[in-house]
Amino acid sequence: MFGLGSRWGNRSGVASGDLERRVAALEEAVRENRALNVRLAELTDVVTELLLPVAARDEEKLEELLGKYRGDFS
Amino acid sequence: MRSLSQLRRPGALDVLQVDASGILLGAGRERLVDVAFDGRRIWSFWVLRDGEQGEDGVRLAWPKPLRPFLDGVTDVTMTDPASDTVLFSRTVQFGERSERIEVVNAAGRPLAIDKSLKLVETFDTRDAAQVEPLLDAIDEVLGALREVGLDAFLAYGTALGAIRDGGLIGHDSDADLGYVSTYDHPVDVIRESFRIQRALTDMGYRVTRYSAIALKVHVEESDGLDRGLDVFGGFMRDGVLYLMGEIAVPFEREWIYPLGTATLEGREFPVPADADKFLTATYGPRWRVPDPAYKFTTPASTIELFNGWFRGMRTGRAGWHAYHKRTARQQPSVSDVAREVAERHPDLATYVDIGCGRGTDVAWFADRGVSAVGLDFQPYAFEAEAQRRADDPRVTFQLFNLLELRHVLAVPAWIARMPGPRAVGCVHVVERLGHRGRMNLLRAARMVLAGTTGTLHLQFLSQKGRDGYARRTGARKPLDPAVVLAEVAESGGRVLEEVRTSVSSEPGSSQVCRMIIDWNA
Repeated sequence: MFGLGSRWGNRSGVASGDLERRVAALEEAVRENRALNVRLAELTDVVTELLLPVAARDEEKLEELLGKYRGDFS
Repeated sequence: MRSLSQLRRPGALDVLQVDASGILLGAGRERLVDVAFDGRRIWSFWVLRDGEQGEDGVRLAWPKPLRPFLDGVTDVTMTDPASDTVLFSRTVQFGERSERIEVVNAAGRPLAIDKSLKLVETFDTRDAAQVEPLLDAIDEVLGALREVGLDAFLAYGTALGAIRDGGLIGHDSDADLGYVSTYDHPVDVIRESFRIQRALTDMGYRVTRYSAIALKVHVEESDGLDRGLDVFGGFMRDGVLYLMGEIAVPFEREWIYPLGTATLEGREFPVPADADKFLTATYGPRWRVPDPAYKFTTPASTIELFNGWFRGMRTGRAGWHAYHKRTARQQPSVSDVAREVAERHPDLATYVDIGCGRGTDVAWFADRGVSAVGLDFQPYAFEAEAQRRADDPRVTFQLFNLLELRHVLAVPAWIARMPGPRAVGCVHVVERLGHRGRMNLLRAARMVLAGTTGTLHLQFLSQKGRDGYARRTGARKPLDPAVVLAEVAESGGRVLEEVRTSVSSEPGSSQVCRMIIDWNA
């Protein structure tokens, strides 16, 4: 997938087998990119729900939030 | 104008044979057939789509869940659902029993095959008194969603039934709701879904997440049944409506909002503003023609899109459920990993079992005076032990999914505050995970162990023998230790010890690999 860029300039002489391989690599890259949506949303959720209260240094509140945050895991 | 169903040519069905192996039909055209036992619809099929063409005709095998019931006598009737024309009727003896065949569940409630070939309690056998609690449940969940800021509406089969017939579809078995978010980016729609789940949980509902934007909200119906209503998230982006998990079509927001209404079993419920456009997007232009054997023909590109954006959180969950159900009566045994940890860390304060299953090791540590936390994404597995140990302050169980980053970050952050030294055990889990799941396991272990001298103790199947060990442990297939070594290195950890041992002295024995890992280099 990451070797794709260097081959880009040489498009005219691409054999069909190579094209298939490149399409497969692109599909894989698209899949990985799409999956980033969930990762980013999860990370943002943790930061906003948990890390911001940590920054406030309120120990009691943090303990409560850590418990509450995992309370709806399903 | 006559409907498409009326334009279909009638004609007899050439039934050559009906027996326990299935139904054999003579050559014929594609058509939809309802099969009834003693007058009650039990299954529907499309002759050519679902049948297998052979030399002697088209053979339709009975759906697998139905087969155990095929022992006894019943009147088999086949009808054309569009015209109710009886195409075939005969008393058939299956197997040896002389009693009538009754396709019912343990409580004696009638069952039928649904469109996913599952044997379920369908609506056609529910009388008004049984339907009312479901309508109440729909009302309640719509109200709860409104309270958390979402204008939800009837979707999929529930919308189709309400809009087309004013009622629940007889061969359907669940109720579906949907909403279209005001956000237009998958990340924001997913974050909104997390928020909704929290809000509904706060309101006292049990909510199960099926994907990043699909939830099941459980309601206790007035007849005491626990019913889960599916709530599918959706959004509009660049003129396309995306509704989990089948719809990705060019659409206008005005065709959804402001919502209209439709009558379902005599009560009004919200549906998208343009019902025809919405149902065409869901079921195609022929949505007005009933089809109990309907199968979505969602384009592969749409499935791929939803898989990439939203799915992948529940991989393996059903398989583990089946495993725990199958092995529930097996004698529990303490793992070698637990004994190894106890020996290596005589001063251990907290033991964490990732993928704890029934919680045998957790209970064993607690009995030795060590606080123990059992983590598993299959709560069904540890439910019994959690109840037995409800009053034991040393025992905690927590639902934990290695495929959800929120779990992977928040649960270890909580455990890292427990007394040290802490150690982590993980027995026959990594074989069933992909790279992402295993990296998340290593990440979680590293967080749990932060600030202590503790270690992660892994055990996995490295060579599958012919001794049934892979099936007995749920490991299924072996994992190359080289893969794990590379992943540990990638996580910044080091392998302190690695041993491979046969699980018995029998020839052809399986081999397991045990690794002790830390991040204290």
